[in-house]
Amino acid sequence: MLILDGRIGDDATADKSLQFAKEWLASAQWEVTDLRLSELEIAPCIGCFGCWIKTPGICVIDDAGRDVAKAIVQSDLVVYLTPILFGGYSYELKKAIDRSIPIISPMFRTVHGEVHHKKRYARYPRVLALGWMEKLTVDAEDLFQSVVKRNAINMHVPKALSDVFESREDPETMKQRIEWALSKVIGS
Amino acid sequence: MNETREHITVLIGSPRGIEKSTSARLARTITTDLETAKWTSEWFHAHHVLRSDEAWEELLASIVRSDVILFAAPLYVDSLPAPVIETFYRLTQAKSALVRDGLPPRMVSLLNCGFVEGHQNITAQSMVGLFSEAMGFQWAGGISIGAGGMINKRIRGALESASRALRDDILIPDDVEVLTRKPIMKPWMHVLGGNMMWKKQAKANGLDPKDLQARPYE
Repeated sequence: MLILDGRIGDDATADKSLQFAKEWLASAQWEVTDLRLSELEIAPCIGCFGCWIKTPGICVIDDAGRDVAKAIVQSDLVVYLTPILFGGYSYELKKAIDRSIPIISPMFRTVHGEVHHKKRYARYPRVLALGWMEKLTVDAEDLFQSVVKRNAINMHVPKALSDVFESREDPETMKQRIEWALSKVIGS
Repeated sequence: MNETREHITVLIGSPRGIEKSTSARLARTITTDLETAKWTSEWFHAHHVLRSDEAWEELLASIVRSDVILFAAPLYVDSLPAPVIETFYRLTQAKSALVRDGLPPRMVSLLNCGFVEGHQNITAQSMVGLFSEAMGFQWAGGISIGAGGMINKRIRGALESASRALRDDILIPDDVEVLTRKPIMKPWMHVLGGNMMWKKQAKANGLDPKDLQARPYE
């Protein structure tokens, strides 16, 4: 189980979310790796498609971005922790996600009439995306959930769930919601 | 006579930059007509402004005197490329320094994706809309191009219509959405042609097409 911590600088909400998620997963006997992405050397994707047509499945940039992509595909569950920026992920988390496209195939197929990429691997991890804002708006909340759903289609995520909360959320309520979301995504 | 000319800031969000990217090529189809109409333009690369204090200051100065902000980028995993999100975030942090007279600039977003359906840009377009709102800009609308930025007469017509709207100081009209809504080819044709292209590129790199499905992390 992998936690991708997309915080930007000091963030008490990230601290609490990480703590609650790790405690619950440890109690459920999950082996957890958590990566604070801002502390890793991950260059932005350069859009070269080398990971598809030169070194299939491996990014041409040799840095921690490769390790994160490998860790994603070898996990059963990936948890995103992220402040919500413009309805989406933080740039720290997005940098890692942009660099994870080697785990899918360049080859196209149609899904419900829309073009998407084929799988590279037989199995992919489930995803739980936990996002927060100082003050939630309906637009940002809806968009965050839409992005997670769209990602699930494009990245072959078998089960994806998202939850959003405000930074000032009562810690006990936040804990309960994170635990509920984890049990739900792990579920059947 | 001291004539004030209209000004457009063009922000490119592709890692390939201003010279080589599809995003910049598409943006030029909009700015060329505006430059003919005596608009001034300044171009910036999101990835570069994050690394250069000088370029960052020039971007802020350009935004302050802009009538229009044109943002052009590729779709990256249903969203904007990470450096674009960081640029947007830093701009919202610098917002209080962007003091200007008159109306805020209009912001238009021109996104392209590798899928044949331009509508797959929709989540990323909404993000640009939220950025525009956070900055206090006037959201003029988004233009979504599919098929890796390939354009035909119809799509070119949409871009020209958008350019006219910016020149005439109106929002992006509905006909732009109507003209770009229909993919330039059938999805099955895109799948067939796209897959042939990947195999051809693999061969050019000395690979067997079967290698495209390699599973190095299994």
